[in-house]
Amino acid sequence: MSNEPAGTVPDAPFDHHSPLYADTWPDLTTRMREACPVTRTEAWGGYYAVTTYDEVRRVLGDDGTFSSRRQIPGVTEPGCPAGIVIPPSPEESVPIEYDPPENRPYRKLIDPFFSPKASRAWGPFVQRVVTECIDGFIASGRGDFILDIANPVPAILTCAMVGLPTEDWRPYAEPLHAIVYEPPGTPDFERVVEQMQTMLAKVMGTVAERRAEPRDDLITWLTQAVVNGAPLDDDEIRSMLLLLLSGGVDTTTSLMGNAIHWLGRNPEKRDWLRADLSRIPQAREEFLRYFTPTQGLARTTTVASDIAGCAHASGRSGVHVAFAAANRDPCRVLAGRRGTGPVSNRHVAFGLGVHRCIGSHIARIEFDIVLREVLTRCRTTSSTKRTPSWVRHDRHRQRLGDHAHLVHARPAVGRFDAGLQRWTTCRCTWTRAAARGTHCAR
Amino acid sequence: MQVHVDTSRCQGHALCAMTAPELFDLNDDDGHATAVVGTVSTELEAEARTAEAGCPERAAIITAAGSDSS
Repeated sequence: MSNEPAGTVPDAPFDHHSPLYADTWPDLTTRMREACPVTRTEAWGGYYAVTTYDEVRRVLGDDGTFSSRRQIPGVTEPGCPAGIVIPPSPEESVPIEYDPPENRPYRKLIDPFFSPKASRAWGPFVQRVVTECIDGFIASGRGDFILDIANPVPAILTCAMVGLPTEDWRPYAEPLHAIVYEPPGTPDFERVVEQMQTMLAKVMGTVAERRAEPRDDLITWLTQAVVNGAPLDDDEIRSMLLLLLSGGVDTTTSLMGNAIHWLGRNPEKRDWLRADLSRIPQAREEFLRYFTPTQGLARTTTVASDIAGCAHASGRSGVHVAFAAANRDPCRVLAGRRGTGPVSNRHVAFGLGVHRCIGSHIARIEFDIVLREVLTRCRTTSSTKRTPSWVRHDRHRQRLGDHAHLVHARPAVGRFDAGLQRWTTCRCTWTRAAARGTHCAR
Repeated sequence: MQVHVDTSRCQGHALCAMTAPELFDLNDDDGHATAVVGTVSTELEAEARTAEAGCPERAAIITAAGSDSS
């Protein structure tokens, strides 16, 4: 009855949470895409993975057929949510798990906090935070890029933009990273879900405080907002803040970590950037395309639908929209590039359509400042004896080596130490190490 | 040459304004773009083409001078 596409993965069904995906996604998704634009897998109850740029674009532009909602009347069963990740996340995120037009008033509420103009205004703050982070280790002559910069900066900035206390950033950052690394269905994942609940309870504590004593911040704005004629209730505010925290923290850490790691392994490119910092935006867009921190998100068919003309999905089919695969599709992304301008690269790392990543502007500003400061103030090296493995999740992938990428600070006087710090595993240990906050007192 | 933004497609990626800031204005609240009116000067034509090619939503559109555009 249905046409099963040829693009199934040999020896194992496609599973975006699998070690195979984590370790080999560029080649894996290329092989899938070359076989067929859509792959059927029976993992996680069965879903389709869309891997071409054109098809990703089509799916993301058709919210009516490919819904982001958790509960779709007439389609999903009660108690069996859908939503934008496969398997569904424990909590709803708003407005990313709404379809148009319902998403619109929520999106409009928070757009002004993240617009290009608003994001530019955060530049000086980011500069101060990055400077402080580097100042914290530079005298010692040795630092760790992930622990000292890539972890704190996005967390501190996101807390600040939202209105959470920035000196307290670690309890927010840790579960936000860990929820990305731990594959669903494991005991570790369940533990992290609990950590997230604890963290969100903390966030709601701040919400209650702002209701009592308003400030000039986003949380206060949400407590005073009216949508569809009614104030936002606590559940809605919680879901919106969860999304902003989820979107702002691990993704940017991942992008920065991957970029610095890559530059350490490609020192001629690092030196090329350092020679002319105006090249950073061009490199940044390529890092976004190449690493795609949010590897993919899901949609659910609301009706029986053809996908890419080679699979016929029944209604209520999960579809993994593989941004990372689309970003490697030579037929489309690179064809869109012309000239040597910094943004001729038409990648989909920030998604497409109505749910385009609201943080795209601040993410770029943040990344550029970090890269500029690191290239200017620090020497970077990297050494890996084994191939680093990708950390797994369907929303994000963060590539952490078995050896940490080490940033050697360049002090005004004195000599460097060429030491190297090991992480023993790329997942839990990283998170625990981040929580320990080694290296500097902050 | 003129540039035009299809507002039904624009999602505020703002790549057009990054590429060709002289040709596109961004809304303060949501970063959605509008094109400056008038003819694109010769020295900005290459930027205009890059902006058109670089828009992920295909919302930045170049039209020939004198054709209908809003």
